[in-house]
Amino acid sequence: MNYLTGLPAQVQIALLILLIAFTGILFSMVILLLYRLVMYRRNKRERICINTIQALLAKEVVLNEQLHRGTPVKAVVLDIAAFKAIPLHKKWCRQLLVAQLIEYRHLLSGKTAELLRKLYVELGLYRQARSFINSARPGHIAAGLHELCEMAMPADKDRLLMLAQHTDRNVMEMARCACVRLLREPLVFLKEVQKPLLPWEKLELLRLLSLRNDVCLPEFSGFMNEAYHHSVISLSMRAAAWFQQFEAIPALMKMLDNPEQELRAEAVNALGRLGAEVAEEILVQRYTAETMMVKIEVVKALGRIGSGRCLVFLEQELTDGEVFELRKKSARSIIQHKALAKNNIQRLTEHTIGLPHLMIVHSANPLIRN
Amino acid sequence: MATILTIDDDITMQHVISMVLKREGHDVFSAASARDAMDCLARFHYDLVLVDMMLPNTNGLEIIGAIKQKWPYDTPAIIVVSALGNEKNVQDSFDMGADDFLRKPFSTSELVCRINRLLQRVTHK
Repeated sequence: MNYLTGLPAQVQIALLILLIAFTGILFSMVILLLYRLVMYRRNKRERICINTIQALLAKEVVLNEQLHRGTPVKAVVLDIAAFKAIPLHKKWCRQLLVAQLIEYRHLLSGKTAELLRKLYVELGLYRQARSFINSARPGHIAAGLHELCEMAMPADKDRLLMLAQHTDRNVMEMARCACVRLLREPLVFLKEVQKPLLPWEKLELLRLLSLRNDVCLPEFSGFMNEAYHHSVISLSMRAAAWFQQFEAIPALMKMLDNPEQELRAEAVNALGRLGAEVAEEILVQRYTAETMMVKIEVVKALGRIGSGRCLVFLEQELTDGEVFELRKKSARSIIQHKALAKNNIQRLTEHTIGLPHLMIVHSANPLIRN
Repeated sequence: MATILTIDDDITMQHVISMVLKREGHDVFSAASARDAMDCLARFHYDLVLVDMMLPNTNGLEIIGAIKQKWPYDTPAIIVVSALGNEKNVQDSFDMGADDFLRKPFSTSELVCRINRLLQRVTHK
């Protein structure tokens, strides 16, 4: 120590730094080794547990003899004691089993999937997921919602509606999806929507709704009014087209007067997808006064409706129009008329030159989608 | 009893299919990639191949194409198993020469029925 104090201050500082660095490295190495040891032991433990779980699921569910003989799922007696032999009171073990149940339900449908759910209920695994959705931690809520949805477990309607208003965006989106998947009235949360539904969320909600074969679809025209958030109106218009609700056509035509161009464009799109011939004349009349976004949708809708009454309009737009995108869409819409536009297509192909000719030839090529 | 090859990178899926088909008395072998599958097919004759649409570095359609090209006169019956059950995928599978298409999730009874029906048809040929 005396030797050190006799050294210059710079050397003392350098030695101190060296000492700190060496201790730090040593400490990190020990932590790293301990972490690897813990992970190794956990992996080993999980591997053994997962093999036991898979063997039990194979015997009790996938190859269930009672089910194979035609016994109804409700009457199948599961060997719950065998599952209770694995340490389900431990969090990691419960999670492993639930993950396996969810994975099997992704692969198998029908009676086997019902039996997996029965096992989940009889083991009481749903209790933790239910307590999770009542938790204050967003991560827990999301995990609980995911589990209940995947296992098709009923959930408290009021709680789900409350979560659909959650401040955490992830929880809110998951709760909206959970409402569609689990509630008897899947779209009940739409009344309370205050934050916009994102484009991908609309698609996901529609996809989930189309998977529900145990509920009656609501009339989407009921959501097309000012009382609802504009993203809900947009979703309902898309849904009306997706589920081919022709009775929504009058409500969609009313939406053409909406001040927001996005909603007008969505309404025109839905009318096109519903093949609403009654709307054709109005669409053409409003065309010149509309914004570019709506104009594009009008031209596309006329092609989808394909009655043949607007071929002259589309042809004029293709040959005399000034906007490239509109001319291209017009060409595409003319082609969509198929046999009805046979003469128009022939005439345009033979007698036009330059851009209109290129556009019609391009659109007529079935190998080119856009 | 038939010899069946399942081509799927999902171990759980392989495990489930193998369990169900073994109970029906079939011999089941598994391959996790296109290369493994082609090796298996080159070494042994299979009556039926269950192929997943999504595989690492390739897809089920390419495997069907390769099987049809390599064994044009002795092609095993082929069933495509996929969660991507849209119209285009189904049509593409049949265009490539698949004999059947099974959407995930499927019921075990549906899997067995489809395989047995296909094997019967192949045997009658």
